[in-house]
Amino acid sequence: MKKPGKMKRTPQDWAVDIVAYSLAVLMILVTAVPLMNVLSKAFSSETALVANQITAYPIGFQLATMKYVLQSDLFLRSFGNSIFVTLLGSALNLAVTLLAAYPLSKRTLLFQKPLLILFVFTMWFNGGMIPTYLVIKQFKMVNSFLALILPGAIGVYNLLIVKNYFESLPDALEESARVDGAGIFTTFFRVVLPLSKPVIATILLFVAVSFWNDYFSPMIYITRTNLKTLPVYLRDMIVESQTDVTRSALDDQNLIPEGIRSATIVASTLPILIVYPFLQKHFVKGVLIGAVKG
Amino acid sequence: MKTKRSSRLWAAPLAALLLLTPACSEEAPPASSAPAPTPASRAESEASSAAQPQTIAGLVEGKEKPVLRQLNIYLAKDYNTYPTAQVIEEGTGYQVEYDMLPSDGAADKLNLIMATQEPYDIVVYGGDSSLIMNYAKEGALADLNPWLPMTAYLKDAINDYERDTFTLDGGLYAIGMQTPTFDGKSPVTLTTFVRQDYLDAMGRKMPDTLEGFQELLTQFKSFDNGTGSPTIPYTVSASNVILEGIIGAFGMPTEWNEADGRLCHRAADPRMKDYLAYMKNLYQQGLIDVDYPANQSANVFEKFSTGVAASAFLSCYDYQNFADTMAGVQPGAKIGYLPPLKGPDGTAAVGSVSGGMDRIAFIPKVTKNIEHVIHFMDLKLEPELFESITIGEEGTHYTVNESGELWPILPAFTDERGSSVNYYTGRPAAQYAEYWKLRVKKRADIWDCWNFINNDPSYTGVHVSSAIGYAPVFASSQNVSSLNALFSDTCLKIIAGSSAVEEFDAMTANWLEQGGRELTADYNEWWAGYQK
Repeated sequence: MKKPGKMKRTPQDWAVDIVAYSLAVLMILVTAVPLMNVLSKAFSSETALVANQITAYPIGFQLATMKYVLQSDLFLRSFGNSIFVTLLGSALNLAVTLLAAYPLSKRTLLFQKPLLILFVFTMWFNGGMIPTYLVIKQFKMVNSFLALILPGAIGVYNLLIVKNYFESLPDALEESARVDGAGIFTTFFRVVLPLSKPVIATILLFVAVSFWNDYFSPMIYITRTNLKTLPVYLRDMIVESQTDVTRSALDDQNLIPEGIRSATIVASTLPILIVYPFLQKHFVKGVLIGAVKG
Repeated sequence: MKTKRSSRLWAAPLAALLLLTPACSEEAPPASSAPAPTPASRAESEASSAAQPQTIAGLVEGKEKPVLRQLNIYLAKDYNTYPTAQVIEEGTGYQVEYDMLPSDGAADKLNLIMATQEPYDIVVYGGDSSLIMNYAKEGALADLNPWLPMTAYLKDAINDYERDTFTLDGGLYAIGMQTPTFDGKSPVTLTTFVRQDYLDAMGRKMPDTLEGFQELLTQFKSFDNGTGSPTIPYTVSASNVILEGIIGAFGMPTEWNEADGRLCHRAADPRMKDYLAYMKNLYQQGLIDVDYPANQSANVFEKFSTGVAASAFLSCYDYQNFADTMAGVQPGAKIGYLPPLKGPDGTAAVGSVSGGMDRIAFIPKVTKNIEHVIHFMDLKLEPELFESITIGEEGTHYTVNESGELWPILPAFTDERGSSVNYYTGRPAAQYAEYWKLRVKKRADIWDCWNFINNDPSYTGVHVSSAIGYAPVFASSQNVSSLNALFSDTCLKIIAGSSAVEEFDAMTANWLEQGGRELTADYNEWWAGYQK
């Protein structure tokens, strides 16, 4: 009897493998080459850049550009702002989502269904840009980090995922805790939360990435230079260098050199690139959480 | 009680939304933006009670200076920490909080801010006077006229053109800052850069006729540039379909040209067909870069700086983008400038447009500090402070040579005053023009180029500076961008695409149909009055 997994490979198997691997390599190249190009530009000499000699490796290697970017006040401040908004926003979002999802997962909650519908309603309908802006302005949150954090403090989609997860936990666990004399809060913090680590990690990741990448809210609500976040900083910089400012007879502003642009992009992508491999497993797991209710 | 509160809560958003709708009132602003007392009455009462002169300085004397909020166009630096901000604060005694619009979609964001009545005291925007006048029509801007007579410097820093542009029903709603002119002419900045060393190697002189230029390009085509790549005789970015110095040979140096006392736009000028035929011929013979329709300025810099292109259509300011690379890759490179070419009838011309504003400052009606804002704007124009803001201090930022010329000290001038242009809220045109030259002198190569094409007789003798930029914004001006796009797209298709030169006629008909006719009528009506 053959051992399982040691089946003889047929030519078709080989063919499938070759096609699959070639496609995978091709996909890797498609994503890796532009990345390599930006990376190379960040470390190449300006002469090589203007002469358009850079492909996938640096020419005239230098670190001055990167040093310039890392010493730029505006870059560092936007970077710090993004980290601050991401940390505070994620923490708040997580707290609110968990605290709202737990009671909603209990069928014994009074008006559970209507309450849930109210939450879900906001997934389908919202006020639109101008009315939302007016509300934010009315609460004096324009040019404040609160405008970036509060409106997104609860994500209904995430709330539903967490709620489903809570519902999947065996009731017996909570009952036994209660028999041992635990109150609602003790049960929630000591029993339910420790069991929910996977879903918490997933939501945290979703939320943190969305705060980190958020471009629209800061673009709308922030005009103060020292409150700008990284995506706005990057966008401003890239758009500005694409417009033909120097061709205008009115202005004599310099184009932002390609090298500085690339170095800024590299520097701002680095944190996510470093953190991502460690969180990737949660991301993959997380996609399945809440998908199958069991 | 409850109803009252909730109605108040909604009042401001609704009022703001009203501003957004086209049918909005032109009357006084909503309650949340309490209208400032009329300056005249305020000044009168204060003057009589305190026996103070009717000056803006007297009006605010003894009052606590508020922190002013100024909204600016995008700058890749922090307005609040840039050295100019410090100079302004020390010179005026006003603390200013600067915010800025994004580089992308600035007008949309400004619309949002104006519609929701963000309490800014001053806004400084780029040259779009029609946008600003729309705000004025909607009653969102403060009238400056009652205040100007009380100012010491501001009233004299506005010329007739700037005043007329922003006057509506007797009120002045913005302070325009006209692009500098020299002897009444706007400078030329774009021209054809030619590799002088290639020319010398071929033993040729710089041509000055259309045929001569074509011959030169033909010779360039077979020239061995030593880079291993075939020579591109002439490279141009796709955004340039009208080439200064060449179009003049066809009698159309500027966008609107006069014939028999009437203005005619190039899009409706039959002579354009001759120009297009000439350019198409160059392109078809491979004398213009085959990538012309796709070229961006970066491609042009690349080809010219590496020696592959023997000539390129560039701006003087482009030196900062390609010259350092060229010095590294092509150490022996020498650059000359193609003079304005002579056409079949022997005439040459190079055009520029006078008029136009590069910055516009206005005061939103929602400000609660209008006296202080006017005072602040006035103080900035005090001659010594204005000089300090613009060019810095002698010995630190600039020097004066024996002949009295100002020269920048680098890098201090660029680092600490290079972005000052964004801080103005008014500026005296004549004085600024002299200071402005320092910005051109930031690089010797830029200055040499600028100086040559604005002072060499081959250029100055045929320089036509059109007054068309002084035209106001007409109702028909709203079509300008789409009309311009139609015009330049068609030209590019004819020169480097499959379209025949004859298709220009169909474009002209289209252009007239889509608003060009009204535009031409408006321009001519204005022109007739302007010339008197």
